[in-house]
Amino acid sequence: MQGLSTRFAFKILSKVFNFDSTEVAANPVHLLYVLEQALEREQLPSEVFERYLGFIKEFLAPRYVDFIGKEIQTAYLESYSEYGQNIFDRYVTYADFWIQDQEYRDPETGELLNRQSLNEELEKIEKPAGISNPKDFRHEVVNFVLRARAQNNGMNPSWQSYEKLKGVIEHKMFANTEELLPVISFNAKASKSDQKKHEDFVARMVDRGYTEKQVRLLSEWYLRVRKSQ
Amino acid sequence: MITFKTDLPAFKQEDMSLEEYLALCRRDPKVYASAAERMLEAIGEPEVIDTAKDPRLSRIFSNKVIRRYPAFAEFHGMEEAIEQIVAYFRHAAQGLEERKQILYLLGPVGGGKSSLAERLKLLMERIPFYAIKGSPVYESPLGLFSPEEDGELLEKEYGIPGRYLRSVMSPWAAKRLKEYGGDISQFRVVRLYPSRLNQIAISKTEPGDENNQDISSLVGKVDIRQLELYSQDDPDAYSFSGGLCRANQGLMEFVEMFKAPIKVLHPLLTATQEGNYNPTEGMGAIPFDGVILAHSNESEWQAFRNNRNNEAFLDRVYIVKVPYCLRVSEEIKIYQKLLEDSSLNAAPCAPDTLRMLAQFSVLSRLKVPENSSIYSKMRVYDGENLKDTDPRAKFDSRVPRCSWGR
Repeated sequence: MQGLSTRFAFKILSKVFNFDSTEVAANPVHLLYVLEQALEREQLPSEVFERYLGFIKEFLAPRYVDFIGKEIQTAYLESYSEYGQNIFDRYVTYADFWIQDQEYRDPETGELLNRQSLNEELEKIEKPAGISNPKDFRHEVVNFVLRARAQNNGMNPSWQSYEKLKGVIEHKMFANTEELLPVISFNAKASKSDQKKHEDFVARMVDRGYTEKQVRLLSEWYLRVRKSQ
Repeated sequence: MITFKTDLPAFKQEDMSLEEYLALCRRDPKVYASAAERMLEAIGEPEVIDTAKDPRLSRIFSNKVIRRYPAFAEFHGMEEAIEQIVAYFRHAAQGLEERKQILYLLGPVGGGKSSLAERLKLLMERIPFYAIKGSPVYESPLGLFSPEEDGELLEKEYGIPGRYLRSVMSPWAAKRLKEYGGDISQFRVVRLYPSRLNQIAISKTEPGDENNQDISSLVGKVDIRQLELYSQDDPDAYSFSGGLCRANQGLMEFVEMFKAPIKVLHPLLTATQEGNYNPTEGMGAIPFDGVILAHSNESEWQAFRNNRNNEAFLDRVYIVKVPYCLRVSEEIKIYQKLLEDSSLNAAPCAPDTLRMLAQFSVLSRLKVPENSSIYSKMRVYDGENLKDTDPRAKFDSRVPRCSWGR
């Protein structure tokens, strides 16, 4: 069997935890760096080396940019969960009517949505997340929600309880969050309210399991990578 | 307050007459249980999990019912290997062909073979066994009886099945018996706990130098200091220090077995097949009724297997493959276990760090698939459902994820 042994991974872990000179802590950005260094030192055959490096460049690093971006945005959005629930409830209702091929009248605005416009509304949420098979996806979500409702006294489940739709909604929520830059950056703040927002942001990140030093490092790394993309 | 005086049961030897021992056998068949039976008892009952009830597990194990053994709880992602090891002991305990086989763990470096071996030895220590008092090879008192003459009586009177009378009397016991004038009731029986520390029924053999390692590391050798008192073929002049001698009624671990020269391995053949082996001097055969556990890497195994001269061996080996873990979430648990046991257990670890490392390790172990990306393959192996994001990602999902060479 080919591949890297558990011992190799253990050695990487020790290095990552002791990478920072002031605190014993690990984070994925240091991990990416340590991994690359270690691979160079391993004297692997060049094609294996290229392949392993490819894993970092192709999958791990880009995926982590997404991940930390989401972490930062979630911590940035205070009312993150209400907003999410809203989109979730709406998506489920639309999808349900679409599946049954019925027209939907919005109880608040009185607007009538036919199958065509329901489809458009649903696609607005699905497109940014790259759902390649919307028909199955809608069926699956509605199926899940109906079953959950039956066990939950007719209430919709929390939007975070269905991992796949949660990802889709987050994509939709974070499609345009350029305004978060001043809050997450660690530069001197222009106004008191920005300063307060920034501190709240850091506190929420620490709640999520980061140290303050890591929040700084990861935010700066994220901004840098975003800029270069 | 630490008590410095040990009174662990392991240090208390219970000593009894042969008559009392047989009475005990009648009451409790566990008294004469073989090494495999005791191991099975130490492993205990599994926790049965119906994977059909959990969507993720059901994708990984295709709705099969799997067993998890609390004794191996920290071996993450190794269900298949553990299941095979337990099957080996179960079949051996039932007296089938496996009791004559060498349990052989085969797998890549750092895959957990040695940890498994250590765990098995630890489990072996839990259950005590009975041996003739003073016997240098911890032989079973039942070895004193001959299956032809006493077998029927033992079965009728004490309920001891004939297959437990397989072992021969050691040359040491034979000499004592001569001294006692053929009266076996003069032998005493002790209850012992296997011990790694004292090499009681558990031993470890490592391959030595090609030039000086000989079979004495397995079968023992003559103690030259005793030669002024005894003749060379006298059992009392023999040092029963070999791995097979120490591990009778227990477990012998042979580290990197196929690195050892082939001539060293020959005593293992008769020890497993016939239950006895010859010492280096001209004495009678020494009994062996235990488990031989060997492990090595694939390259040595390949070299060994390709040599036609080794056929006799190949047929007597029960192979258990111990591959790397291919499920990201199990790999993460392996890292968490390491961190918990170190001073880093309180050190902050940012979310996703361990996952990223686990993904990297798993990616390096997978073969590149033809119809999809290797990243999707990794996620499917971890039991994720990719129907919507990558519908083309279809792998043989019926094969348990940790199978060989994927």
